Amino acid sequence: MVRMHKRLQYLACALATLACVTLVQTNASAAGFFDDLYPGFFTIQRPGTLNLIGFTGGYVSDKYGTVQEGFQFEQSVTPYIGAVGRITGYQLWEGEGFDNPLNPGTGHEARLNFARFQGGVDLNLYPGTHLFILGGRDAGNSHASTIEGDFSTWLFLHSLHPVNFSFSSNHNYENSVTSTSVDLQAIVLSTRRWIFLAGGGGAFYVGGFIPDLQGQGGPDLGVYYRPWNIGASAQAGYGAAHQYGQLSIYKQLTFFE
Amino acid sequence: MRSFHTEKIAYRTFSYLLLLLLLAAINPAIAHAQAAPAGTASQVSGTVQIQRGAATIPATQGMQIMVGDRIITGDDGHIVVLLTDQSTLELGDSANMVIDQHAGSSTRVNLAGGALRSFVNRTVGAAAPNFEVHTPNAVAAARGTLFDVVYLLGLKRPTYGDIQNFTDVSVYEGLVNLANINNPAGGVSVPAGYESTVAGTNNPSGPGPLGMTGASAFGGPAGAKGVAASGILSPVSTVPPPSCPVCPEPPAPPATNPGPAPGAP
Repeated sequence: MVRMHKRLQYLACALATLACVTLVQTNASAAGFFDDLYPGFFTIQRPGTLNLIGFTGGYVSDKYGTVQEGFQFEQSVTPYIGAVGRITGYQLWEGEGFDNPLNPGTGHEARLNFARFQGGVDLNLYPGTHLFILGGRDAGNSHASTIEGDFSTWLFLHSLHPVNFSFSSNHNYENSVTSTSVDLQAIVLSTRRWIFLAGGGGAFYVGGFIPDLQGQGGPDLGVYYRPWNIGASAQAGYGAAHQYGQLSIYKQLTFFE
Repeated sequence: MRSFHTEKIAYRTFSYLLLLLLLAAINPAIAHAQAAPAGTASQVSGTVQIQRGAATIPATQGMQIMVGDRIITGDDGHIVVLLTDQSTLELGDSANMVIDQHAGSSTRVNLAGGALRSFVNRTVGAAAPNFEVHTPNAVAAARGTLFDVVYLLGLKRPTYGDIQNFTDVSVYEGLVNLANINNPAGGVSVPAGYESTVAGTNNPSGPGPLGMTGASAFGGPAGAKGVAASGILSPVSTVPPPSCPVCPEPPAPPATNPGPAPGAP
């Protein structure tokens, strides 16, 4: 009985030693993996970069239309973490028979103007993969608090036709609506000056005054002109607001500090 | 007597040769007097030095660059060399390069560090130029006309483990064949609009669109975050607001009146 007890003790000691060794090895390999994926994680990025992105765009559908314009700045802190700020102005026309956001003379019922101020972090999770987490508040005709997550990742970067998957979700705490857009685009052609993209995407809404999930989707085309760092993306399709078209244009300025 | 005369001539010849060697050692320009001209320095700014043999000469605009010259740029240095075949070599700051060979349309450059932009002149109707840029771990052979080669040492990149030396090639026009220097057969063709990297002793990565794979290019600071990778389709939300962003949540329907409890008055 005593011998068996001693054996059990030896076995327990051996298992504990094995567990310790495994733990140390796991920690070492985890640390190695971390160092491999995020070398210099805790170092300040030198030189730092400040990206300033100006953007504008519009959305028009049978039921309503919006125009938005704004700026976003991205300041690097470490190679993997940055600070983000965004200011967006929205103009919205609503009503059946809406036809032209630039000439809202007929068919519309009201026009809303509001600005959205957002700030947060930019997490560079993997080369070519960014996650923005932003909190913010509206001013003007809307006073909502919002929280937003924007995710963008490039797949197959070392190929002739990399694919971008992006996902953006915004929750409005005033009307409890969550607005989400999803997009999948591939680079069709890259040249010295141009990048051409094609894909598809859409948006869906849920919560608040929208009782059931509503959405829309369709194909989209994109183009980026490298010398000017200007890009544009257009989408058209069909959904809850019936036919719709969407255009966004952005221009990026990068400053090395 | 005759033997003594022969010995004297041999002694004199040996002395002259020794003197010539001594002079060559003192003045390296003599030793390199036979080096072929590679081109001229068409633009020079900041600190740029030419190592010619044992001598170090500050580069000046218009000076002749010889085959075998080592060109070293300082933190603020920049030089453009116009080669005799009208090709150009543009060397960025903190770079180090030797023109190993330049004869006719055959050129070989050795880049030991920094960024080099090459414009390869292709005369219509002439044979395709044989233009190569070597780095310590890669060879970029140009079938095209405009491309950058950047060699970085002592820098880690995500997903590359402990590798600390990288050759990045960005192609703007034509086609460049990139290979690891120890495996020339394992090269990849990098077309215009794409870039590729040789990391350490690895074979080159598959070509990815310019500015998106994390490769450095001429004029971009080494180690800076991939600008375009975040900028192209930057996560600026494009989701349009819902049809009524200010509409309140509808009030909950009133609870159904359950009626008087059984037994209530």
